[in-house]
Amino acid sequence: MGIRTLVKRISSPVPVISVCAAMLIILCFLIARSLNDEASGELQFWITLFGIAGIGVLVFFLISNAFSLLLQYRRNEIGSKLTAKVVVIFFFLTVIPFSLIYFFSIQFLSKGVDSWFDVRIEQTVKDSLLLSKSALEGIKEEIISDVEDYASNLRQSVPNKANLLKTLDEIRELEGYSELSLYKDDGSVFVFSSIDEASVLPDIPGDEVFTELRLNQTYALIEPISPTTQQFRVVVPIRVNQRVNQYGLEFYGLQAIKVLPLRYATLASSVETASNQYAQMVFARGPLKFSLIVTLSLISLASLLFSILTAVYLSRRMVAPISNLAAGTQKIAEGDYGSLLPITSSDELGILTHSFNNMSKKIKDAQQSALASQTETEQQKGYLEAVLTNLSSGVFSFDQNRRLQICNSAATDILGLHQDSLVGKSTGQLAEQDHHAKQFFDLIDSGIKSERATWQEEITLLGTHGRQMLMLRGTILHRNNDLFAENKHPASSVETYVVVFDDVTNLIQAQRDAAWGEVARRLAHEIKNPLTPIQLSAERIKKKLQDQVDGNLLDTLNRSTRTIVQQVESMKEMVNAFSSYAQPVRAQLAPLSINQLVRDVMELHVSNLVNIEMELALDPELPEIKANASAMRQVLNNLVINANHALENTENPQLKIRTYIAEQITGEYIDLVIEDNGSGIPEEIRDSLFDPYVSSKAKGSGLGLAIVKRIVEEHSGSVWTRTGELGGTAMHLRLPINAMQTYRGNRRQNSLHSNEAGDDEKLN
Amino acid sequence: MLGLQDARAFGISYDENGIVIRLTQEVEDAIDGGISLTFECEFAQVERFLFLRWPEQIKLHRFVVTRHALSNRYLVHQNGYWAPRIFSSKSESLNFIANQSMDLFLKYHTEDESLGEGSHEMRLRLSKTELPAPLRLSAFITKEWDLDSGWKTWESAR
Repeated sequence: MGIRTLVKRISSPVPVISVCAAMLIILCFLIARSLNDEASGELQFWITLFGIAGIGVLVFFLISNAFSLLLQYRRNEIGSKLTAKVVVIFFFLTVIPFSLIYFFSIQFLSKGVDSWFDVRIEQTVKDSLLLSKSALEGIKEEIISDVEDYASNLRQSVPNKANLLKTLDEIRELEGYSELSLYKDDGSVFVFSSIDEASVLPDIPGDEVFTELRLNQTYALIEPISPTTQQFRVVVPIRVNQRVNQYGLEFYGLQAIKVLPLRYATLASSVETASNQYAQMVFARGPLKFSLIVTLSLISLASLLFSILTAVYLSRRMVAPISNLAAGTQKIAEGDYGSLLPITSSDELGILTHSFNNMSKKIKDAQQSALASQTETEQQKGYLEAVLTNLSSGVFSFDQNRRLQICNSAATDILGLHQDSLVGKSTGQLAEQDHHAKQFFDLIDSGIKSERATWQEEITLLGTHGRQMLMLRGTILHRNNDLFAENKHPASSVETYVVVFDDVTNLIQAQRDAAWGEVARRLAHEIKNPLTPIQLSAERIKKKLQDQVDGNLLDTLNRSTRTIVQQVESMKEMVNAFSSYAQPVRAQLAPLSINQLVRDVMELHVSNLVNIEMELALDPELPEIKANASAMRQVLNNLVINANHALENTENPQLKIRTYIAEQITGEYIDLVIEDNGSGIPEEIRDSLFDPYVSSKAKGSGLGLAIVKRIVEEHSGSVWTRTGELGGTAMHLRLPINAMQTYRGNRRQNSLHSNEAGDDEKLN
Repeated sequence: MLGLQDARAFGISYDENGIVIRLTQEVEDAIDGGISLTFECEFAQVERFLFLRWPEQIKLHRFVVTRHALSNRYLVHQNGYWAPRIFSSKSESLNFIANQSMDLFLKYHTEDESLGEGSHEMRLRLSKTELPAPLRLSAFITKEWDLDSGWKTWESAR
């Protein structure tokens, strides 16, 4: 146990007040006892010691409490200032009356003690004593005279011891002496007569008596033999001759002892006692005052200290509920709800504490409800986040300032952007930040500004994953701004906006695939199937009739059947080509070097391009892309054949194939450009150039560029035409280097399958 | 051997002839003012336990000096005697007390067989606790009333 704890325990109010009160009571009791003269001096000593010790204890507790209060005051502990104020008030309320009472008590005591010693009383006491002395002196003189007469009469009969004793007995009995004795000059007893027959020896006088006798002087003295009894001792010298011995002239000493009569003795004793007591009082006046003042001071100081100490504890006790309330209020202010305060009294403070406890309890209940509600909200929020996270659709939420508040992972995946770079920015900032998504965010901005309750738009983007078709749906949400407002006025609501968008690229592609597949199936069923019987029928007709006809008819027959067969073959080719266009590419993606593919294709066509000036500007740093090699080979074949056809009637035909990394585009793309200086694309088919059955050539099927476009788009790329540097047409292909790595949304839907078995397994 | 020294201006001290009692003016005035003075002569045997030592009182004699106003004599009462000894002056009475104390010491020291071997102590002092009540407090806190020979130790000669 630490010293601080020990002091704290000792300084707790109940033991301190009890001990101090007990000490004060004992001190008062002892002082009251000590004021009695019969009390022993030891008591006075212990009272003083006990009083000083008690005051020491009180001072200790008072100082420790004052120090404790000072520390609390400096630490700004709750309640310390109020306690200090109350203590100071109590202090002054205690000290001022005490000081006044003490001052006037001292004055009164001093004057009171002085008033006991009246001059007249003192003179009376002195006169009484003098009178007593005079009376006793008178009696003494009579006794001396009588004894001297006896001595004169006895001078002749001294040698006769027997007669002498008889004479002494007669005188003693006659005159009422208690003892008559005769001594020699050496102090030895010659003869004595005593009232006490049992006494063996007389009351022998001292040496000083014989000294006076030798001087022939009478010795007379009043002797107190008990507190109430006095006797006269008178010794008279008797010289019977003129002989001289070693002590001088021989003599006898006659001693007469007579007890003072009881009546005189009582009076004399009374006077002696009164005189003595008065003399004591006179002498003890100063010490008495001092003693009383010290006693009064002791009691006053002890009482004052006890009062102050009690005031300190009372102040603490009184202020404690207020301090508790303040501390409890502070706790609640700091967010610690539900703390209950002890109710120590049934007065107004108790009622206040009770009310506080009720309030605290209610706040705690409300807080728990709020927490439960918050937890529920957080759960709902978590649920919503989980839903949003697992949603394949991208979701944006904008505040009233069109700042992005919520952005789910599907949205960032679709757009190929990072969430951190989006949240908190306005639509304008987002449009400025991401160039390839500028159109997307502008569309959202315009949708929000339109203030329509719901809106829907479709947009095609060239994003990080290639060409994307996005379907956007926007909705305005009204949210109440003040949750605690009783009247939910529309003016207080805040508009927020939610935009949900989907990458429908694959969906549209799938729909288109399905449509073209259906067309192809119908073509196969409706057109291709009758072609073989037609062809066989034509060949049979030719076989049956060629022996029966001749001349012109035979020529006509041969020409007609050949035409039928050729047209049927042509139709078969057309149907096959259309089927290959309509049928989706179920290709296997694998790393492919576009540069190498270009070289291989050009090697195949080198014999057909002998008159054409060839230029291959292939970027040696061009990375491999994930693509289907045969599909891409078909793309290149179609484009090279188209270029060759376009250069048929051109002087100084030129063909240039370039590859490079499209760094200016967000994400990683490569560009493949095939351009010539041919006749270019006719204006009338420029807009529908990539549609099926659109061709500028007389014998063209019109599916070449459509297939190119389809394959490129299935590789998440794009293709477009423009006027080339050589003056002719430039076919521009843009292909993503790795379309499958980040485009999660398309993984499940894309008809392209990766060679990476692991990825496939994960997807499945 | 008894070592007696320490003579002071006032108080109770020892000299070559024995004990000397010199009263302060305050105490002399007190006697003349009718205050009875009690002198206590204590004899003790020194007890020891480990490093502690304390006097164990074995004898106590009280002498009460009082002035008799009617006869102007000084009376010395002592325990064991009914009648007081009467002296014409204070000094005689004090000398009587001092001599009696020394006589008692010699008596106990040389004759009392009950005293064992070892260290013995004696002291003669004015008893403050026997003073009248009003005087005690000032007697406790002032040196004027501090008349005490202190313990004097001697080894038993027997």
